[in-house]
Amino acid sequence: MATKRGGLVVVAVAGLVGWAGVARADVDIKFGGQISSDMRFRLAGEEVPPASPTATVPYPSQQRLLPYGFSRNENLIKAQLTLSISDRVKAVGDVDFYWYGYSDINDIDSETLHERVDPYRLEANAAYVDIYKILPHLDLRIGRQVVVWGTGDKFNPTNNVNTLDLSDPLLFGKAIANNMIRADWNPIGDLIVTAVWVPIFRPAQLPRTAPLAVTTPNTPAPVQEAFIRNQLGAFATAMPPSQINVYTMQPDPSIQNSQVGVRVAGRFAGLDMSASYYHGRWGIPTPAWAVEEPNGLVNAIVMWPRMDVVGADLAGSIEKLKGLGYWVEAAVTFPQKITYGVYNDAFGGHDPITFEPTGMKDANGNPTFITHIFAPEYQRGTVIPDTPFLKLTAGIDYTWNKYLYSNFQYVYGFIDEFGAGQQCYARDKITFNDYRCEARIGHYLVLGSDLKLFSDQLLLRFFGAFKVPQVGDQDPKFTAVLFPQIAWAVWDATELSLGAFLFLGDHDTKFGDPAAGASEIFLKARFTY
Amino acid sequence: MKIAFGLLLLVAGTAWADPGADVLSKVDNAMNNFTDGEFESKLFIREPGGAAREIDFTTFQKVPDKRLVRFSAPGDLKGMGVLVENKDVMYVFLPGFQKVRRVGTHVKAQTFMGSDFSYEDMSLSRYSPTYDAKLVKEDPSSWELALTVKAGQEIEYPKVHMWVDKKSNQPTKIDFEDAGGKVLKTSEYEGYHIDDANHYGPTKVVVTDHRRNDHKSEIVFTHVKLNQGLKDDFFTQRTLIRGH
Repeated sequence: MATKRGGLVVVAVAGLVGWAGVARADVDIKFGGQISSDMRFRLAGEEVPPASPTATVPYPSQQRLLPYGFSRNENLIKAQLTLSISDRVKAVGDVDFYWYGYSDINDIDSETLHERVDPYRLEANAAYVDIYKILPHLDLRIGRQVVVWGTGDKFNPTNNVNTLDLSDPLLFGKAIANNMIRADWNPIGDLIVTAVWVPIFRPAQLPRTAPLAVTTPNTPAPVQEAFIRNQLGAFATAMPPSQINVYTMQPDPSIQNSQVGVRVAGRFAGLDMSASYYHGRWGIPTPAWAVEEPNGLVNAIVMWPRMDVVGADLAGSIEKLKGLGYWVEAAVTFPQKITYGVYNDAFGGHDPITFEPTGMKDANGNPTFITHIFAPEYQRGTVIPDTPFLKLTAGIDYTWNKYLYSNFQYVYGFIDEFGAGQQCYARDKITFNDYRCEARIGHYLVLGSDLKLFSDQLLLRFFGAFKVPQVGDQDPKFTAVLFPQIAWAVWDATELSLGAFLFLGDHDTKFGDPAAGASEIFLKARFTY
Repeated sequence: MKIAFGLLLLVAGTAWADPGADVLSKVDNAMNNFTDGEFESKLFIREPGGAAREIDFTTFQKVPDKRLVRFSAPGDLKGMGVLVENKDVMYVFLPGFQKVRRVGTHVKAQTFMGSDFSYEDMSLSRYSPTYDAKLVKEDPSSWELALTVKAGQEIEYPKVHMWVDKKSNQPTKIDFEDAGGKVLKTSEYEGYHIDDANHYGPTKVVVTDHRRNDHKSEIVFTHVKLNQGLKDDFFTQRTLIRGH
């Protein structure tokens, strides 16, 4: 009996080994990635964090950003692994391992720790499982992934499922991967219905300069109503804040805070078209509270507004114009109304500051209010009104010859713009109540061109985005970003690139605002495998 | 009398029709003598010093128009895909952005990955719809054709000279010319053999661009599979996104 059972075990083990051998043989493994180096020098920026006795360098460190100084000294090893079994299942992993290239040693103890002497970070761009034809015409993708919608080039108002990585202007428009379930139903031809469910919201990655927008004491309050803004400015003048701490109110991981999206795409009469809907949140936080504490300390809180977005896009080419490509993409956003709660706790109480509408308007047509302290029954200032707003991209592109390609877009609403109404910039760094306001959703002209030479081994690229003034903007000013670059494909998969990302404009303009970032020149080396 | 005159015209028309059209039709049929195919290829871009850059890719084709090209090397192109649904509809998949982008047909004017092939070369699978043909010369083993672009067609090379092997009915050499007859580019097809499904295919295509100091590129077909039964639903954006 024992012998018989032993025989069965041997057979079973042999069977398992055989099965495992077959299964392993069926797995197709693809491996790739990148090794790169990225060095940058900052030009005429604002110091981050500001040089003050209380300002500390955040950990893990990217060091202090100097007005002129090295702003990036990174090395990257990227690894991408794809495992597939037959044509039905695929598992994909994509991980970036970065070394900052700056030490973070605040004390002698930290100098004994490898991770402080040589700080690093890990980013997972993909970790998902794909199951094709789980049901007839239905594919499923579960895990960390990026879902990209829209026909525009980099400016995609319908693309909201993933938030953006704004930490690096050179990665313009890059989305951050998030854990989600995606289903694609492809009943016929190019008709695809995509449904996405994202259980937990992941905020956008902000640039290191972003805190300047909310932690600089003379920044105008982000409220719509001019009177309230002036009033808050007057308070700030009377009790100048010495330091502003900004806290966040991250959404709870509840089912109510999950995000959903649906998109229907297909080709009709030669045009690629789609319609989409998204319910979720805007990835860039909005100020919602400010509490004045004793000793000039201000505690502010930011939150991520909910939104519903209805969008549509189309793309095609015009054969009568030698195949000129074109695209139009538009989305209407229905935002959650965000108000600005102001409290004065400086004298030991918790006193709300609210505003009573008078029903009258000032000389500029703005509604007027009476200020109340201790009277919570009146309204708070509005940061984001619940007024729906439009964002739109329309573009064309054309290949002139073997060497030259050009791309032109009109953009209504830059990638970081959100909400109807106006936003204001401080005109100078000393005086309160002197600011310049312009529409939150702006008009832009975006131009790009590639010149490829020597069998595509040398690329001269130019990209520029220029803000166009619109009716209602106060004292319109020139502002733009320019991105010239030269890239040399030294050999197979090996590229050196040298270029600059230049923010142009006064500090009270869209791109001149120190919170947007500072101009940089860069040198990169990259090998892909 | 009218009937007799009509018949005379018909006979005369047949007698005067240039045999070049028939030869070109044979070429088109021989080049597309399969329902679908998978072509694993290596593209070598020869630099003046003699060194070559190599690009590996696989082309899936369904006759007549549908094509899906997937790049596997070098690393900066790995995973990139191009889908040609027909002559007016093209898509590109860029894995770094996880995005499929409709591209205007203007991209046909671009070189194929910096080589001497253009996207237009890669998408031209039949000559008869674009060119009128005239037989210039014939010997026991080959035909020589002169092609002229048909009225209303826009193409980079308005004139073409083609040498056709009678055994395979396929071109051995093609000169692409401007309107004045100046040779701009030459394609040479080498190593014809019966690759699969009774289809003659070359093992190598060499292109010389005379406008670039006779710069050369060549495609070597390393593995060919024909008539696997690829369906139309393979040639979709869905396939482009999910990879193959």
